[in-house]
Amino acid sequence: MKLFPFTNVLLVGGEGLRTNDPVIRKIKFSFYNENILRGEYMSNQTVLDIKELSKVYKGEKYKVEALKDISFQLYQGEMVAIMGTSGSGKSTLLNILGALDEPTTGSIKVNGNYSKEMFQEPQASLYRRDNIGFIFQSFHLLKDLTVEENIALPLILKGVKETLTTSKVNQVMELMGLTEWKSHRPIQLSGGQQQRVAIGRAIITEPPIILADEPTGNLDFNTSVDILNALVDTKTRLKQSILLVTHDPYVATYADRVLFFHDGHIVDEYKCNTHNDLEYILEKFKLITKRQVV
Amino acid sequence: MKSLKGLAFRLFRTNKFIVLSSILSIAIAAMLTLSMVLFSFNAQSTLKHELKQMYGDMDLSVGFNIDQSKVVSPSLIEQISQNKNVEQLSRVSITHVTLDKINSSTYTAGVENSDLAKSRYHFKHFLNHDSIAMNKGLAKTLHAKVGDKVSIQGHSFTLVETINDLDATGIAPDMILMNQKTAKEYKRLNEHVHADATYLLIKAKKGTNVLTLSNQIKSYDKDLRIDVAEQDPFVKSNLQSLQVFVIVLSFLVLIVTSLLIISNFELLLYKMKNQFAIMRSLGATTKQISQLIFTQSVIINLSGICMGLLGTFLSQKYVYGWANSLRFLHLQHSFI
Repeated sequence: MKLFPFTNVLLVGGEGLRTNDPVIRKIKFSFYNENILRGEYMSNQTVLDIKELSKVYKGEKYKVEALKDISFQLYQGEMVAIMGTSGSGKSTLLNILGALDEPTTGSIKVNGNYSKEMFQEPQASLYRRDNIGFIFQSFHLLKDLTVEENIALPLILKGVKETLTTSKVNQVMELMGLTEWKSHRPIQLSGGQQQRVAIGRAIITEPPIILADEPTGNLDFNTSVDILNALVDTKTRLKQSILLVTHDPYVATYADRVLFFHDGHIVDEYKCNTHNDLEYILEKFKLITKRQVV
Repeated sequence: MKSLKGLAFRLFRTNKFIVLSSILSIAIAAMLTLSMVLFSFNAQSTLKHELKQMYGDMDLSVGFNIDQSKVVSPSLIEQISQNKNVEQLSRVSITHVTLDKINSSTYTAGVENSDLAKSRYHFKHFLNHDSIAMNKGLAKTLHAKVGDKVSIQGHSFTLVETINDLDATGIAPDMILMNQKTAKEYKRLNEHVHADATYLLIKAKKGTNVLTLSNQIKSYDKDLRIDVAEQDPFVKSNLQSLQVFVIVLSFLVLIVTSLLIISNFELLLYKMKNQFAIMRSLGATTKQISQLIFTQSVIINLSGICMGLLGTFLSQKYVYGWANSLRFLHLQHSFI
């Protein structure tokens, strides 16, 4: 279920907000009462410096420009939401930033360092291991492992000692409220709990960057709010930077900044700091989707 | 789960059926391969046994053809016995003697009381100047039993042993075995031939190439006729059949087992692709993924091979025996 159920209405028909609807009122209420520590833990230190990034997929009879000269910075402790329609290049960007795909042109500086080989193995794996935590829409947990084992996986891959792994896993499970579910398998958990496990797994190595691809896409409203709060909370505690891809304007309001993507470009940028964030994001998103529909 | 190995074990649980079928395919492959190897060894040992039955310990027989005027001389015997590749040598004199009771000329081999001659002609008792042995068929014709007297050209011999009829071996059906010196005398008397022996039985030293030895012996006299036991047409044709059989069967086994193994492993890797992709996103290196696959392959292969060994052992012990008892399967004789 979508966190903001009218997004689809906007996408297709552009009917606008039906503010008398009890659900939207609940969203607004929730939003205005949110105690988000927006920007408080942000520093001027650039974690990711992306310059003129472009990605072209070429085939024998086709050429698709998924990203066109994308440039922006992600600061330490900042949460940036990327909004855009399907095919606007959001996921491509996330794949490139996670070194799962290679850009055609452009550069990425991580903590001020640029490495030409960061997309080659084994540097790509080591980069992911040390810098990136992934959170996916469909959780991508290993179904045969328990909650405890799923969270411990990045540490096992990193070769961390067993005693340290155990204590860290316990800390993270405590933080995510999963201690009583530690021996359960993912299939025995609710969607929200599974996403908590995924977040726990993403933050256990305390990576400086979290890449989240529609983390609330498969969750109901209340669970989504829980997950977003958990994300903001861990971001604040660990001074992490989060790059969050979403279709949902309400989710975007949790970010410090919103980047609007369209057709491989960044078409707009918005800093969330007012009570009108949701309206602005909605209107902007409406414009972008209309542009696509037209 | 504390390490990559532990992780490899845990991931097996997700794909129980494919892991099991992979183990089974390896087990079948191991069973087929082992059965092939055992079958080859069994056939070879059967062939060796047949060869031993036919020729005893003899590797070569050396003599001259009847149409040649040459005979085996003491000097030739001395020369051959001096060859470093010859372990044992035994004289044989072939003649025909007349059995008084049936007044018939009978094929007679005069043999020394050596182990080599005993193994070649399958007799056990010592043959002195007054004792003979004969095949059971001839003894039956003469109504003679062991211990009876048999008259040969006016001289009485004691029958000390009867030997099995060596049918289908190329040897004359009726045969008398007597002391080599006595036979030599009969040959001189009946055929007026003064020969130390008609031919020589030779046992080569272990590890000697009999063809090389036969060439060496041939160099002593180019007219010598040398028969090599291993080159017996009967044995050779059996060996060729066995080789063709083993090659064809090996090829089939190879194809079947390869297909089984490849398809199972492909399916397993396909199923695990998603899990490996998740691990890659968590920072697993190619080396770590390879290590996981390697560990899983080792477990599957080892389990499969152990199961295959056990299966082969059990089938050899019970199934083959049972099949043999039903006379359905006669592996040992099917190709000989």
